[in-house]
Amino acid sequence: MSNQAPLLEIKDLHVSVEDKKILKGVDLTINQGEVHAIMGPNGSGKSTLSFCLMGHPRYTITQGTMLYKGQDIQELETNERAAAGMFLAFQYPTAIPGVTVANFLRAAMKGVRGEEVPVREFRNTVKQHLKSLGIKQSFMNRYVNDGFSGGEKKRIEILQMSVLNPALAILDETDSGLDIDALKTVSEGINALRGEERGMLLITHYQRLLNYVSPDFIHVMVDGRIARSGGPELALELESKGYEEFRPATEAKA
Amino acid sequence: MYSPEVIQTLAKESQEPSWVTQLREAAFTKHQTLPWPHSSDDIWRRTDVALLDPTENFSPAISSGNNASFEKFTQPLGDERLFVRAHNQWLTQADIPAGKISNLTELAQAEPDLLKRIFSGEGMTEAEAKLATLNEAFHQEGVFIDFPRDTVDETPWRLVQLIDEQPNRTSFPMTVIRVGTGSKLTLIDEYIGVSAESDQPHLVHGRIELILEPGAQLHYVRVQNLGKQTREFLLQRAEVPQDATLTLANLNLGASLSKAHLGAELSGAGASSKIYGFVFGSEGQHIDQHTLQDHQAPHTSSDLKFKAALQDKSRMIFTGLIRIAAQAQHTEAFQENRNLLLTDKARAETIPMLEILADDVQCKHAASTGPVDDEQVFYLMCRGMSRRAAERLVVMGFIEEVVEQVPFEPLRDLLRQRIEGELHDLSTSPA
Repeated sequence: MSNQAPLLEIKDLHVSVEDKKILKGVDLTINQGEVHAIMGPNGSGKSTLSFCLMGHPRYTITQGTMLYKGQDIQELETNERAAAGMFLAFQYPTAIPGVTVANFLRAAMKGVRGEEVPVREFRNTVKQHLKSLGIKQSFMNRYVNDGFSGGEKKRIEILQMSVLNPALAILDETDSGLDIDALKTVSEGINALRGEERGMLLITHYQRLLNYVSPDFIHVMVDGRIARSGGPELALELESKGYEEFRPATEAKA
Repeated sequence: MYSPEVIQTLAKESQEPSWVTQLREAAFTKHQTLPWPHSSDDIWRRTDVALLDPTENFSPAISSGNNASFEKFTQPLGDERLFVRAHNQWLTQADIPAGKISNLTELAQAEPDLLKRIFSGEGMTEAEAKLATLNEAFHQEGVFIDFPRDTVDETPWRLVQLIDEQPNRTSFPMTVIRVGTGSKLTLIDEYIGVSAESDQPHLVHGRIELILEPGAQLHYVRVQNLGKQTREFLLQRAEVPQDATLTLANLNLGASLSKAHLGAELSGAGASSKIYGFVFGSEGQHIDQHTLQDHQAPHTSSDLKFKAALQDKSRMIFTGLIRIAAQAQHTEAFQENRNLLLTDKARAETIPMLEILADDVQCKHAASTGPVDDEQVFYLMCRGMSRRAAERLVVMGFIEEVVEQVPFEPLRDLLRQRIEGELHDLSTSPA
């Protein structure tokens, strides 16, 4: 494995939205088997990073590179990134009225695999993951995220991740809006997917998800840059001191 | 081409009572005295009514005598009770557990007052009457369904009216449906154009009257599936009295031009209606839909949702009037119109109209028109779907909300297949 390219390698990434600079030089490397967490205050650019990794059309990359398994992903369409094994669990999953979770999951599996999934295999795979995530079978007939509670949306995101089995999972604020029971279930889902073959990037505002999922590395993002990186102990430091001292000197007193 | 002589011929063919013929003549006289709707009227402004005038360039439809092209419609799709009609004749007529399915001559004989009331023009605007009187004068393909009181049939009835789209001729279908007190009926009414392979237009002047008695429940679905050269005017009205419940779905798939007026009068306390509409527009289709939620009694409710998915250069006009009379207190009326534009050239206009005279009511309307949502497409692409697959899934989802109102699975499948088959891929350029 040592001579293989890292799972994800972001170098000096600069990103703008409508001429507003959001990311100002992000460097981040994730290897297979590693779980990284990016923590930071609102507006620091965490979600921008996750959308850029999947190729959201609203964000313009002005400088830098994003390599996934050594390949420059800027050349890839969003669905090609998904088929290559990248997955984003959305902070605010989009409702698709009129499309059932079952049809959606089948189309997603087909898209990621590049071929039709046999009905029996589809049914068995979904059934098994529904059970382990404590999601009722009746969810399969509901429209994707349409009228779902916050907790239901996040569970369905984890269900999708489990079914699609990505090599790199990016989870954007998956803990936000969850009550303690939902947080536990979702965390168990995440932990179940940890493994040698997979890399994970958890994006979170709060420390509390990290009580259930313990990352190998923590990065603090402030004002579009990674201000500091460290081990799990960094989360505790953040908990006690807050983000204030990570801000650049010119802004700290503003 | 349309004259009192045509009426005499129709009267002979149908062997109707002479008073019906007199009603036809009176209707034609009325038609001749009324002015054509003027473009200063918001409800008529966007459609050229001259295209709906049969009196200059059209002749009455004649029986072609060739029923071979109708045969393929005579097989049921599932376990529905199927009735197929063409040229004023039944091709298929299922057994029914109760009630009667007949024609307007029989209606005239059995229920003269009912037919007279329908012909009275009561509750119509002058503009509507100008067009509706044409059907009253020249109707020739009448259907009367009488579903008696205290009867429930869980099996859907499916009425297929085959329109022989002869060039430069006009069809005048009239359908009257009555559902008795305490009864429950599901009726699917399909108008299928059997095209004559011509570039000349066929014209349809249709009339539908839905009469519910107190406490009746009717689920009525109209599918307009006319050919590409056919123009249509439709006046569809429903009477919803005390404690009656009407669920309507009007699905528009065909016709080069369709001007439809769909009304529901809530005339008794506890009356409620749900009205769904759907338009799938392609090529140069011009679909102009006017709805009327007419609250004439207190404690009534109406909930309307009209959706259009428009591709190519098609155009949709929606004018939705909510009228709440002074006595109709404690009324709820909602109206929603959503239009999805699948190309740069498709157009949709939506004009809500409110006439509210009562002061203790809940009334809301909402409308939106726009392309397929980028965020929905992005979400689906994040799950591995190509842009093409993602866009198609979003559009089919948009349509599904109305398709699911069709209470008969085999027809739902057929509608989905039909629409998905005709749906072009959207632009492949990135958003």
